Amino acid sequence: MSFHDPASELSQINAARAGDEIALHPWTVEVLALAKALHHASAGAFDCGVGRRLVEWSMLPRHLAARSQHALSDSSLAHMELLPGERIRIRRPICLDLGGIAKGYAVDKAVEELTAHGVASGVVNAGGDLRVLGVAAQPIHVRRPDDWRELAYLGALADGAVATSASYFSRRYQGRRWRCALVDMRTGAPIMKPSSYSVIAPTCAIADGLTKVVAADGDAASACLDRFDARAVVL
Amino acid sequence: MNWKPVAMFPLAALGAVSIPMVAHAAVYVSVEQAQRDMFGDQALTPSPVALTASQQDKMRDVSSVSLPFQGNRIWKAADGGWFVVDEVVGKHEMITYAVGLNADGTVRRVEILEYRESYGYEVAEAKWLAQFHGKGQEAPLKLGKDVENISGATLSSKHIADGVKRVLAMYGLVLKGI
Repeated sequence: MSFHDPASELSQINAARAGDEIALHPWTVEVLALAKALHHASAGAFDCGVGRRLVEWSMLPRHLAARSQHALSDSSLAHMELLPGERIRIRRPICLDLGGIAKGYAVDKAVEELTAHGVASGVVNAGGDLRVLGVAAQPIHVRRPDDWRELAYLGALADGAVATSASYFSRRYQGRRWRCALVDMRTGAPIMKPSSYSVIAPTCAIADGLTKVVAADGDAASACLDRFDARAVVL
Repeated sequence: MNWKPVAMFPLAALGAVSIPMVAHAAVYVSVEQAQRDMFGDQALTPSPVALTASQQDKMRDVSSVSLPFQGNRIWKAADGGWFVVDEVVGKHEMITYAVGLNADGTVRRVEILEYRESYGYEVAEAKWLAQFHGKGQEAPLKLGKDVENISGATLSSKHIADGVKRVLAMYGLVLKGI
């Protein structure tokens, strides 16, 4: 699912032409299916098609096989169709990035593996996207968006996941504008507000994806959250 | 899923619980600030001491802190109290802390001056440190006995308790007679 690896399945998807069908690893399909569900539930606020913007803003590498910006002007998950038998069809060329959901998914897979080995409690933490396995509540701290070296205590979590998105690490001045990697895909504009968006959800992939929806809505009362049994905290 | 959010929002209220998190030295409180917190405007006179090997041994036996005690950061207050700066290991990194003693050798206050670990910083919370107030040399200062353990910060909490114990022992062995 790596954007950086030109031989990855994601790169195959991004190099595909209109009408191409691609067979994928079940995990990749699972991530894409979840991404589609979030895309639909959020009316497009969450959209892995963000890859195109991130390449344009030099936040992701431009691979040789990449399309011209014109051809990708409508890069959206909506143009990728899931087919039975772990295949997808590309209806229009797209540039996807799975960075907004795959890390959470990796955490969930790690927790599954732990559970399969009989581990009853633990925490898997992938740089802030984390999931607590078991009933022993873990304290959850997030960086303060006004000073990322400081932490704020949010609460205690058991048997669930938390993920956070914010612009403090990715924001940069590029092309005479401030940009960051957090984008409202309904408008294509980067979400530059000095806030951070945390979501607590049963699984980490969902928490990860939903942070982008909460960021686009700007407040913790996003309608999408109930659908996924999630809560949000905006700092 | 079991989520218990903290009651304090918005961001302004979080100021009370926010904690610096850098893994290298995070100076919570300077020596001067801690002195002011504990002794107000009182004049503090530097009173360094040099411990004998036998005194160091006794302190080590009492507290189980193996690091030699540096007696170069001690001040005497006008009211007969003492301000002592010491260090113990947290988990991987050193924790620098200060113990203020009353004229009768009981603990006035403990403050964490520098904390370098990336977690376990609950030891710096006033509520936990308040447990040490009024403790004297006879106090066991044992986790689970008269000092509450902090889940996730067991080593730091034990080592700070041991540290306070050794400062109290040092008072009995050295400062009391000064």
